[in-house]
Amino acid sequence: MTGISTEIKVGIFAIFAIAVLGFMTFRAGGLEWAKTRGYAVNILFNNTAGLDEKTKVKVAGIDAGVIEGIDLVKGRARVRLRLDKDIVLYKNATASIKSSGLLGDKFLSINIGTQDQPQLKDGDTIENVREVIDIDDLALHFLRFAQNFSDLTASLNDILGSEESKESVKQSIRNLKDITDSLRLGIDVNDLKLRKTLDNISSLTGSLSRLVDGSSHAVANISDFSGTLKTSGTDLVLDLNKAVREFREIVEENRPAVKSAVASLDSITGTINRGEGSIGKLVRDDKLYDSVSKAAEGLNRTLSTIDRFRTFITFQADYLTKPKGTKGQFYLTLQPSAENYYVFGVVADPAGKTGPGGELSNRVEFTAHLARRFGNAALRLGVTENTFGAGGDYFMDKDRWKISADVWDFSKNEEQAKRPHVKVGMNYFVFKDIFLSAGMDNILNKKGRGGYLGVGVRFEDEDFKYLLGSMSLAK
Amino acid sequence: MIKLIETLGRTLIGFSGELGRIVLLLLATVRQALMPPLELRNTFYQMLEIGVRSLPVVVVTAIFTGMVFALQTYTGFKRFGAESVVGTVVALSMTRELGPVLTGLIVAGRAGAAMAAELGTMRVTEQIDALETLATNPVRYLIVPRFFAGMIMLPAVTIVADIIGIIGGYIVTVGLFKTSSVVYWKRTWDFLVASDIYNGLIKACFFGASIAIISCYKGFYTSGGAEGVGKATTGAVVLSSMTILISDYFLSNWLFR
Repeated sequence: MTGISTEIKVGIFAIFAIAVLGFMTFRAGGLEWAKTRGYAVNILFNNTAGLDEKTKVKVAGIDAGVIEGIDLVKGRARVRLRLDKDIVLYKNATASIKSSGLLGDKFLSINIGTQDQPQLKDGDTIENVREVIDIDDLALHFLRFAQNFSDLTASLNDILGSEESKESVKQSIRNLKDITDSLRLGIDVNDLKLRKTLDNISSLTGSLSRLVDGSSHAVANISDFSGTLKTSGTDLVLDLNKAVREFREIVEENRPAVKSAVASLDSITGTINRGEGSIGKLVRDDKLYDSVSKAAEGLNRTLSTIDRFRTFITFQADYLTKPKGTKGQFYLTLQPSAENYYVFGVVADPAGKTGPGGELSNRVEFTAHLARRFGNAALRLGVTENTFGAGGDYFMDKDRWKISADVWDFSKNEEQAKRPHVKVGMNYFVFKDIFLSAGMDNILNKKGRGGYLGVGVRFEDEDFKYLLGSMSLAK
Repeated sequence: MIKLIETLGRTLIGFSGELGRIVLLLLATVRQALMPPLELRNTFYQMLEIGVRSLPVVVVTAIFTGMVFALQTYTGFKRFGAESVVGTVVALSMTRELGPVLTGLIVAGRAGAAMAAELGTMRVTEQIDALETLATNPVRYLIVPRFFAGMIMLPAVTIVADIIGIIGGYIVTVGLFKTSSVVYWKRTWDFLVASDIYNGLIKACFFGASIAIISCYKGFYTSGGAEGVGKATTGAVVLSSMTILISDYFLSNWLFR
């Protein structure tokens, strides 16, 4: 290396280093401005679902550009794409967000559209967007649908419940039978044709029912329908009855016409079934099926209703001064909503009861209450320690204090009981889950009257809740 | 007990004193560096020394680091079927971390030691004093060129180390494990962004400056003859390496978060 000056060596090295740096930054995408600019296209999304600046844009899986920027425009995300110059998009191009790779990297996939449409220019907007399906939205649709459906059945029940309407229905069925009889007579000749028609109708209705299931529009219609039924149900049945009777008369008068009508119906349904005409296309399109199956996935989310269901488990031990002893209690509180709850309990009572033969019965007793809460107060009704009982609670300081009064044993079954068993006491939560209890027991009975003092644990149980949830779904 | 406290105190005072002197030297260097004209010849010579002559060692280190990195990540990633991202891992770790740090350590060992030994010898043989009598500022004449050379050449060497390391990874993943070379390069360039490279180079720039200042400081304040020169050299390498590794954390925290 002698003969080459220091400066030259350093210079060569510097050029080399700069070349490597330039190469690497170019490859790493740091010199975007040095590349050809291409052109920009906008897309409006309701939900970008994890797209980001610099996210790749692909056409047919091949890189075609990058996302240059994302901003909010009236609550929607406007995604600005920078596409390579040689990529040509047409007016009916569609954009959808896809994910790839091990870690679910997102990219924007574009279908360029068809060539009979005008080309997109710089600054144009792609109008066809396939949004990412939001499972929560779907679940909501389904909940609404289920609600409407149950409304519908309820109103049907109302309509068919009354004697008058039962009679009407009977009447219309009778009429219908007459019609079918007449029809049978008339149509026997065309048996083969009829069978084909029925096949067509059956496949048509199959497709239609899929259509109805999947579409929220249809759900809205059903809701409207059920509302109408509710208001004008009985009248409707009467009208129907009348219509059917008239129909029968017409049919009987026009047997040959019916025959030809059936023939043309046959040809119409055949057309639909072969996928011709706009209804036919609608019915035969697999897209419907796809959207329905996607919707069904959303249904799983309805499980989240379980989350509102709360379950509490309470263990409590009270020391009674009379009769001396400890009263062990276990309660399971099921609370489907904030206002309603059910209490199931097992109580080990030191005060036995007199059985039919005068002997002391067992000391394990059961409690089951139906409770309803009104603000800070709650009323309970049901079985208290094996007998009919009722009670009330009053809550204070965010439920830390509870004052309760209970009455039971109206039939005075308990030992030496002259009056019903009345118990008044209060619970106080020292910590989140632990409470102290104190009060007066059996106040009305001189011989049984006494105080009590105790401690208990009350906690919310998650597992139990889910167990209940899955049980109710399993049935 | 008193002795223990005394030792602790002395260590602390010595440490603060050293830190203070380094900072003072740095300030003096910067002040001198801002006043043209520079000692260009000297600077070029130091650039040759720090940059070009360190290159062979750095290249060998980088290529083997890249290779072993690819080897290890490949065997690891194969266990969960992510072999295709070996290129990404190698590229990211080389540009962000291994390139600057390894280059820094090697240059500290090679050029830093040389600087400290050279300046130390000049100090004990009273050449630095002679410079002062000749009305030449020794900081300007000796330290500024090294400081500049370190700051410029370390990033330059680092970028070479980066690409060599990535090539090393390529040799192993494609040559040894027979994966697709297209996938390797695609994964490398797809996920590498320019800021990875630039921030790595900013780190290298800091490392270069600290190596130069610390080594010059150790040499400049050498005392105690030939033995002192030896101590200064060792001290320069140890302190520069420590500084690189410690400041690397803080720089990464600042640059890459």
